[in-house]
Amino acid sequence: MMIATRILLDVAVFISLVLLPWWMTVLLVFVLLWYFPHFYEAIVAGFIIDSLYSAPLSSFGGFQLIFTLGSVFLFGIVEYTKTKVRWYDN
Amino acid sequence: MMIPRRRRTVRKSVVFGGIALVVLIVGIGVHAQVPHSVSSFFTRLAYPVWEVGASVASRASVFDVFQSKQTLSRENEKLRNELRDAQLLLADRAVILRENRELKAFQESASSTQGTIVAVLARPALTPYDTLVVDAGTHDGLEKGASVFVGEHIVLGTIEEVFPHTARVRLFSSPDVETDVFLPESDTVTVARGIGNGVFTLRIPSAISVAFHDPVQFSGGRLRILGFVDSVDVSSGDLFQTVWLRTPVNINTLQWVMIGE
Repeated sequence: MMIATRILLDVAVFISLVLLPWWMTVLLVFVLLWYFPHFYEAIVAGFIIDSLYSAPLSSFGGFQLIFTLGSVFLFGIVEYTKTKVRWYDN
Repeated sequence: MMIPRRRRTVRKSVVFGGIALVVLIVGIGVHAQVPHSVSSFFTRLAYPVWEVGASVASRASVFDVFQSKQTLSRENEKLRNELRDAQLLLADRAVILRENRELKAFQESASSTQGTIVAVLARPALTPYDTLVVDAGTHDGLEKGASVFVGEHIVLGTIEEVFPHTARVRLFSSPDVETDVFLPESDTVTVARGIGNGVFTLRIPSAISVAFHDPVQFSGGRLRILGFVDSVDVSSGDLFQTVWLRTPVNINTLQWVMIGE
């Protein structure tokens, strides 16, 4: 049941990154990072955003995978925080 | 408290794995683009969803009957913005007239833009990098580097990546994009820097007079308009002023563009 919900929400994330403003996808992914254990799809979502829309930014030294890198950091921070807070049920 | 050795090893490998992943991503991101085949694959997956989204957006007017007061207020605001955009579009007539006179003086004929009109599938607010995704690709004869217009003289950006059915457009207003521009009203050549969402800034000496709605063209032979002056920041004692420009159309509601040379 949990896996079916997860797959359904993965599809929702994909549709949101194609149809909704990018910050809504980030918000959705952030919630799902807390809801599911090890929500690796967050990193995939970041990579898809970069694949679909990215352009090199000189203020980032021409770096193009900003959302991929951001999602890796977000994933790491959330997973670390999960182990440190009492109210999160592992 | 003692941490079991196995747990420590796992934690260490997770930390090193994470660092390796970050280094790998930074390495790929700095030295290369996302591979075209990967972008093409995700674009192919996204294409039907964009098509459905565009179709739903165009049919949304069927539900206008059920508009609330709030919706009407929003509509009012939107119409005001459209009127402002239309006024800005009209402002380019003065530039056209000026160029027409110059061209007559040099006995040259004006070159008109020939191009293909294509629908916009994704635009800023949805796209985080200030890029557009348009509904035409290699199958429609689109080529990398082609210019993207609105109307005959307003240029928004260039095609950066072409896929079979779609193409990615980088707007001149994308953050950090620098464009050589010419201010015909003050005969000044300078560089406009994109800051996103159809807005640019440029720094010119305070002594140069700039007015609201002044057109800003691309420097070069052909008449191509980048935007119009929106506001000017002048601090007392500063030798330079910051001029804010805006594209004449609202990038966030763009439905169609023209692709040409």
